[in-house]
Amino acid sequence: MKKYIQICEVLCFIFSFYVKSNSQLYNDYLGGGHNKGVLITSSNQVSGTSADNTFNGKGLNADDMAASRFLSQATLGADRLEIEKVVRLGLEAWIDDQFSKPPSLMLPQLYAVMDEIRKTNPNTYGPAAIHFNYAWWQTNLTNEDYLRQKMAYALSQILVVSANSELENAGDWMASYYDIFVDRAFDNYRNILLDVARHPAMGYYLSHLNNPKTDTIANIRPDENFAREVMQLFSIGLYQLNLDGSHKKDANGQDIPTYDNKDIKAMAKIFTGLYGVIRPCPDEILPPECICYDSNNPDYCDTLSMTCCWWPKESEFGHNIYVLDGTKMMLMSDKDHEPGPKRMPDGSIIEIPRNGMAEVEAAIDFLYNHPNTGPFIAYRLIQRFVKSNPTPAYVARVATVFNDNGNGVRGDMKAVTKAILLDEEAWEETNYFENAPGKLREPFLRYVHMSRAFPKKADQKHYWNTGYYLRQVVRQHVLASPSVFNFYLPDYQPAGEITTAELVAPEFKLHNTATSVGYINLIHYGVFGSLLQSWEGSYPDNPDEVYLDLEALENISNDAESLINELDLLLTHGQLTDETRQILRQALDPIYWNFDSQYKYYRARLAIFLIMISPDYNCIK
Amino acid sequence: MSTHKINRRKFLGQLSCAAIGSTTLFSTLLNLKTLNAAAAFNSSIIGGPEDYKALVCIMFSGGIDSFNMLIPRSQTAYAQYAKTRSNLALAQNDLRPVSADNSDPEGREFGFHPSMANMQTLFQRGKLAYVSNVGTLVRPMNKYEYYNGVVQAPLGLYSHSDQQQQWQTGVPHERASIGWGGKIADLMYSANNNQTISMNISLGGSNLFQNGENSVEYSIDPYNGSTGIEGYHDDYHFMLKYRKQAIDAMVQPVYDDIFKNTYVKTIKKSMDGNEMLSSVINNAPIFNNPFTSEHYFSRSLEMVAKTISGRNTLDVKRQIFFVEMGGWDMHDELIDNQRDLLTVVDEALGKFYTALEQMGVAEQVTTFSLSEFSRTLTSNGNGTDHAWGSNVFVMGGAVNGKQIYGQFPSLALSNDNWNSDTNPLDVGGGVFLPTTSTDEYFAELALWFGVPKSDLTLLYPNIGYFYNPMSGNAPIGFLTV
Repeated sequence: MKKYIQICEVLCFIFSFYVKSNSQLYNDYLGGGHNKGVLITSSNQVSGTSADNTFNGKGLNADDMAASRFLSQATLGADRLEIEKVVRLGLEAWIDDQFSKPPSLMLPQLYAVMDEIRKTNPNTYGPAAIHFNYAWWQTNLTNEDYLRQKMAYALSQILVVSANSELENAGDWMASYYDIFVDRAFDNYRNILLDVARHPAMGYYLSHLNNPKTDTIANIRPDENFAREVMQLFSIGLYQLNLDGSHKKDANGQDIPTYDNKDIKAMAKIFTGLYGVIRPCPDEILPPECICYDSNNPDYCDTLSMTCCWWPKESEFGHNIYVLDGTKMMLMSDKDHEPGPKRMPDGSIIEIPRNGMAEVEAAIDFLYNHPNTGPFIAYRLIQRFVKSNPTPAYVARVATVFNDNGNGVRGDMKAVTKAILLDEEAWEETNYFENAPGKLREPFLRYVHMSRAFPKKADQKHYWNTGYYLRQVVRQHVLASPSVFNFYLPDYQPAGEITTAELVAPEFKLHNTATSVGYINLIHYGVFGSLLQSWEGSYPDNPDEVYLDLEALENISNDAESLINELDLLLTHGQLTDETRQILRQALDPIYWNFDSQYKYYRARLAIFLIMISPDYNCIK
Repeated sequence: MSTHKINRRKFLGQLSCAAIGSTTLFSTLLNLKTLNAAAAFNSSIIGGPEDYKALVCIMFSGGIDSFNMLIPRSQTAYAQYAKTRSNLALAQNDLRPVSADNSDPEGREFGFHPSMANMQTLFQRGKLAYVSNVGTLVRPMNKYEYYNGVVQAPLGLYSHSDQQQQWQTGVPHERASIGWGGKIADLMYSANNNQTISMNISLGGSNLFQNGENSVEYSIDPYNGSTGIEGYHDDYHFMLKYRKQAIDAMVQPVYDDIFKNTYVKTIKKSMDGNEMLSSVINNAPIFNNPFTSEHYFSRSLEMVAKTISGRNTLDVKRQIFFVEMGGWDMHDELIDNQRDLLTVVDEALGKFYTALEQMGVAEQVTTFSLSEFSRTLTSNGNGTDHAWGSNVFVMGGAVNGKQIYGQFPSLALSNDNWNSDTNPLDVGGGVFLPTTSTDEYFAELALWFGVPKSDLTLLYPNIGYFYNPMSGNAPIGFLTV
């Protein structure tokens, strides 16, 4: 049954209501979601407060709800204090305040993690991806640079490298790469793209590290991997775009490709000659007899990955990743760089003799300045921050700011951030009364959000998480996508109603019969068991797990309605529907004191669990 | 507030009307209208209890270097191979010789990659065949037509995402979101009495291949099989009862918001399917040649075999499985990486075939490979880049095996001399213009599975340019259709 609600005016004083004849009548009480078919007229013209809110007594904290909703877009998860801060400062001042926060970088955190682990276990292997994960969780459950970390995470889904590769063994490469995004979140997209092109983690992942120039005699030509993806995925995309992100069409109504295979071959020549900086031989973790080759026991040393006797003395083209320092940018070997002119897709020529790195910069500038890049990046960032199906006008507004921040500067990420978050399409509360959907929350971020929203108790003094359970059951964790195409493509359409409506919903790629139920089990374990787990503890004497600390929530759980309202603020931003509220009441009400002395414990947890798996929470608007 | 809100409502309203009969995005897809028309599919063509058939689609994502899987081993042709592939050529003595029953027009003999021992045996036993130089095509075309753009070429050639999309949709000229496995399930759903578990079962999560207009894949986990809600049936704690009631109420698709409905429908489908599927998987026979590898590809095929074992319990006559294996985008370290991964593939395929024989369904299950493209013959140092036409294999008791279908191209590089081209199929660096279209390859599989000839164009809109569905012949011949 469709609900007809007309809000002339709100703010909690109801002048009149009447119940439509075809609706259900409730005799028990008002509230608890019992307002189906009710027409409400009340006294004040404030948008964002619905009949639901009025009936549930929530009209009074519309500001809190709006702040909470804003934070669901602008952060990876926030708690009550941050909600109150947004209410106090207002959206734009909060954003400005966030711009001024110093970055919480991953690499120093990673080193701190390793130092702490090696205090007790000096020979711990690593840093590996698991240690990057510890550092990431530690950072993102304690930081103040919420907005910067959100942008960094969003960029990591556009400019993708993944631990599903040799990087699984290279946590410092991952942290250093991720720090491009943390450090430059509010810098300029040009600098982000250039750093990505020069970083050895990307050089390894898309194989332009040690990429050779053409050798016609040996039939060897430059590797095209990075050249292709830097265009297709990181900057201009496959088809020429209008400012609003729609495809330009030729005279026959067909899409117009932005480049062809010749352009890729030319671009591949640009990204030749790059090599990595060697790291010192890690001899302190090798047995002494292997510091130099032991002729009496050659087999033993050969079983180790390396010995310092043959460790390269100088950085030069061709050294493989196992001897490289993944935290230092790649260098250019001009003698290994393809000479001659390289033709860009627009016909312009890049040729800077004996200066390969200048050619790399020129090519990045070409891509960065391409008219596609603004709408291309705008669309992707809007999808990460706000919604799956922005209107073309919204994309155009953000792309316009990407092209010029108002002071003639292109690619200004601060201006782009504001354009995305302060756009009326992002904050306009009335949007969520429409059936026009927002987005499916990413399963990984649901878990991060839940971990951030509540106080926690830790066995040790840190918030480390291996991330393996998430990777296994919901197939998502930061920097762990299956390929350079991320966890989903921006235009993914799940079968059924969403495809029929010609809408996209990228995150549904991760929602299938295995992962959707896996997620339910994950949340149950996180709420009723332990929230985060590291591999550094031992049972039973020295565990290293983190648990939700729900004492405050338990204290209000005797009143189920208050409990639900508090969780609606923290988790669903006032978007809990009547249906879900009724389901919650039916589950929580029978759990009461003369049934079990710990009933508050179960009420609080069951309420969180049910909201976390509810469609209201998962489909955010 | 504004006009924006009103516009958006209007926008959505128009869209829902446009979804039927739209000539743009959906023009080649089965919309509800065409699907109903196509309900000409007559489930009475499905026979008795023994008429079970399954397709097992193996997607090697990343672009597998299939010209290092099937390799000419006779002297002259091998020399040409070694010259073109330079430092990526496999040693002649290491190749596993196979002897195809159909003779090669150029008299070449072939071998398999050294890691492919089981596949070699299956080929020699007549249970496996290759189709050479298969690729996406909109229309038949030659090199001149390709270079000059006078014949329409597939969109986004050499791009992973586009080519994966096209191999899975059978639509190379548009960006389509419905896969041909999903379309088959839309067409043939009435073949299965059991409608709780989809005809399409995935070991690789959500995928385009199995995305239908009305049907969605059922995903199971390679290690754990069907996933259920833990504690769902338990009542040792009073809370679990209320939890179960709440979950049951929550997954009813009663929402106005189509995202919410889609969200809960998937969970509901999983809960319903899990009840049946988990017992089938738990009751699967012990395989004489057990799957010992922990690799997800091996575990995926084991789970497929276990699911097939329950076909009668599940009361299904047609199933399509999707297994994905990534890691083939070997721009780097091709020789070592391909050796390692092919060892995994070969061992798992060998065990899978043995399991099918043990269950007596080897002739009813046809396994086939997909990959978005093969890779350049020439080297980029120690790896290869994206190419076009590739070699694919089909395995099964119904396969007319021990044959190499299609045209295995010359491995010489082109001299780009139009008058005397050293290789008219090479469009640069050992990238082959396909000589068999993916449409022909897919159509043969679909016909074997039971798709009526008259419905082939619904699945593959360009098939008519490559094959006359009304002819008496099979498109290629590796299956009897």
